Amino acid sequence: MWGRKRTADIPPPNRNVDHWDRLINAYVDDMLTPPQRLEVEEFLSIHPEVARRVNDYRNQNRGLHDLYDRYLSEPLPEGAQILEQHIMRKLSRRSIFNACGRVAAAAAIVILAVAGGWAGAQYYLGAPLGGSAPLVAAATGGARPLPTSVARRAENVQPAKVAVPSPASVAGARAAGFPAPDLRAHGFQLTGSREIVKVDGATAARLIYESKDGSQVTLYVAPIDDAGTRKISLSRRGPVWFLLWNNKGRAYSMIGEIDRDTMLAIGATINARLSEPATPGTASPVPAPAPGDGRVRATDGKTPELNEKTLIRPAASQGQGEP
Amino acid sequence: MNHPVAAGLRANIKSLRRYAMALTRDPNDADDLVQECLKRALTYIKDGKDIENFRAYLFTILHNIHNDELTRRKKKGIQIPFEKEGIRLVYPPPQYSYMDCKDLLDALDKLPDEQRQVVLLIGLEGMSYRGASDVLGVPLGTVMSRLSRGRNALRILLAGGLAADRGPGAAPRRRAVETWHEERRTANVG
Repeated sequence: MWGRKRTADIPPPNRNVDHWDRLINAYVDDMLTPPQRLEVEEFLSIHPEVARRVNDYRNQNRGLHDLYDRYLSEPLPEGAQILEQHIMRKLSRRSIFNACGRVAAAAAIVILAVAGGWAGAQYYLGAPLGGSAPLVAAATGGARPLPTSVARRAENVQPAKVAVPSPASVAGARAAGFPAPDLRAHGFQLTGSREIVKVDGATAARLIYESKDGSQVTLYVAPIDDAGTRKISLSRRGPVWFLLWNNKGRAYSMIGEIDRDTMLAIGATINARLSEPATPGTASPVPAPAPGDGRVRATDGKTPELNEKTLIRPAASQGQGEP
Repeated sequence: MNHPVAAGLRANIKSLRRYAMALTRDPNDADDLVQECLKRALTYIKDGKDIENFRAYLFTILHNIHNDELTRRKKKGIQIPFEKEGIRLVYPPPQYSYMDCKDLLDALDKLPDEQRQVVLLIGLEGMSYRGASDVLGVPLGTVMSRLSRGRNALRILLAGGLAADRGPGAAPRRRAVETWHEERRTANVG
């Protein structure tokens, strides 16, 4: 009678396994359908020795949980945490990529449908193909499209300029009129740069660097009015470090999920590179990588050195607070 | 934008670690196993491959690595480091007396590897029979068979089989696990 109502997970009778054992185990593990459960419970009520066995099995499970559940509340070991973050980052990127792919596919379908419909209409009406102006005018209600520069300003963002991580691109990559600092000495390659038009019309730059193991450092550089001040702060929020400083009319914000010393060393290299006199609009050769800890000596005697001694540590920056 | 796998990643890793801890009974071995699993998963993802059931994937890798290790040890001969025995002493059971917990741990140790794996996957990790079958790479009927034998063996060991190991004259610990829970319930009520 038990075999007639088994669930998909319960295999057919096996000569090596007692028929009752299969059902009792499935009952203990809550894998029976409600009618099966009722039948088993009815059976157990008249077979106390089997009911005791069921109770023993349940107690075994409870004993296992009592022994091992505490590991669920323990923090993961450091190595596992780092790997978890890497996996999370990879999956997040893939998720964004997939979403973009879906949007692009949807857009392509819409474009094909519209173009196909238009071509079909033109064919049946006998009009020659080409000359999309009427269609555009009809679709936009006769309004003229915005000039490209206005559209970009409205979005506050210019098209991404993704640099190929090669020495040539590192030397030539430009953002807001200065060459991108070379961080290969620290194991980081430039993978992307973008100009960002701020609300006040000034141009800021975002540079993205990535190491071979997938760690990322993002640098924002924006001009500021207050050229005289020099503030350097290092703070952390969770695994992410924030290094902020001003120098010679520029504000630098560096964000990265890397260790503190590497963060400081990279900051020092960037500070030194971007403080060097360079003519805007011309590509200066990639300077030699900074040796040692990356703390670069000022070339003009006035460039502030970015290191442990020059750091400002506001109270909020010591812990997990906002930078 | 969260990847569906990323949402439950931390919980799955912790679950994997709990299982590794139960399987190896050695924190260092367990953490090594978990770390190796994550490394392989990361490589797999970096290669652009997709993982639909991340939990099953992690447990399957863990089994493969663990079984490889068992095979290697069998070839090399049984070695029990001193630290491994010492660990039992520094793991105080949270609710029960040392002897009660030790009985369950000892009983688990006496099960053949394949039975212990099934008992832990289903009894501790709450995996379905189908899931355990996928992770272990054995037919569903084999999982049922191993589970049944494993639980029966545990029951017999806990009910008195271990008394023989403790030496002549030792009192059998009949229905030991049940007694633990009865005592616990009484303590909570009191």
